[in-house]
Amino acid sequence: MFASDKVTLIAGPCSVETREQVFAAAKAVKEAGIKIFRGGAYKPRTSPYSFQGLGDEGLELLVEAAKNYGLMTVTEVTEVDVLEKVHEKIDVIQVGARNMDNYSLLKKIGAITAESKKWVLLKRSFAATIEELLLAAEYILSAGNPNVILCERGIRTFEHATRFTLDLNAVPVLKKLSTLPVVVDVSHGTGRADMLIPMSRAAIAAGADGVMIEAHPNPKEALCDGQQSLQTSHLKEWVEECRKVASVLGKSLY
Amino acid sequence: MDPLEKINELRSKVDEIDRKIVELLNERTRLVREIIKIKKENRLSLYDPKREEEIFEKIRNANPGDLYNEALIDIYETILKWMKSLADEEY
Repeated sequence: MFASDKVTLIAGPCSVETREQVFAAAKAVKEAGIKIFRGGAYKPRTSPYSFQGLGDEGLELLVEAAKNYGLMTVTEVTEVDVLEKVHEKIDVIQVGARNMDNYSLLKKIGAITAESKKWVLLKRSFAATIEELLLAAEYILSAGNPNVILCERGIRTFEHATRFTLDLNAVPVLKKLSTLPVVVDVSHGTGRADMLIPMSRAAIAAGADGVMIEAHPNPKEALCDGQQSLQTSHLKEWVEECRKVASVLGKSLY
Repeated sequence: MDPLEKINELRSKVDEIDRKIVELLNERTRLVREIIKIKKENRLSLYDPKREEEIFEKIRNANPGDLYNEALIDIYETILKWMKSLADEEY
């Protein structure tokens, strides 16, 4: 999935909302030539009144849609209670930014993946230093699973033009300090649909091993993070732009 | 003895120690550079928090107690920060 001559693309909706939505998104992801499909079933939301995700039902729908289109899956695990289910059904277990320093969850993920060696996509907290991200990864690595993906997704700064400040400095720093693959989540990193393609190009140019994007068939009606989601009809354009920058660096897309 | 004279005498000893520390830090740098080279050739992670913790433990154990352990660790964190930055030398 990751290699020095590859750029891995991950796309899908922020949340699984309905069967129609998740199948439409999976179809568009497949048709754009992307192999890895993301979608949230268990959602950590800032407000308890925001849409919390479909939970188990969302997980099932995500898996069904991915299977139907032959895609690999990524979903976030928010708590220990759902870890076993997610580990059983999903290809890449995501730890969200808000859980990066949930060390009991990280330890459990380390323990459950020590044998399966399943990929774990670990997002950097928006308030964490690069060293803290590497130490969080260490909880999983030291348990015996070497397959951790480090994900930069923007940090909080005084700048409000964008939702977060995408710290692309983190890419070469992480590539230098560790041998783990580095993925950039451009949706959270910018919070703005109009910046997804330029910052994807920038992430690849900075040396990222992969780019993750939120894509929704109808972002304006999305229950979560619509303003930072690419309309799925633009996915092919996104892939093409990523391919262009990757090819300059002698890389191909996965 | 004149207090200023005494201070000067102690300062010259301090200067001599500083010279030795700088020399040793340079020797340490040369060794770390060799380690970095081997790590790069073998695609091993430069960042190794377990090793850092081992270094801190050794420092605490070696401390005769004139300095707080915390102070020594603080100094060493700075040393390690610069040692890690040796990896950037190729540019």
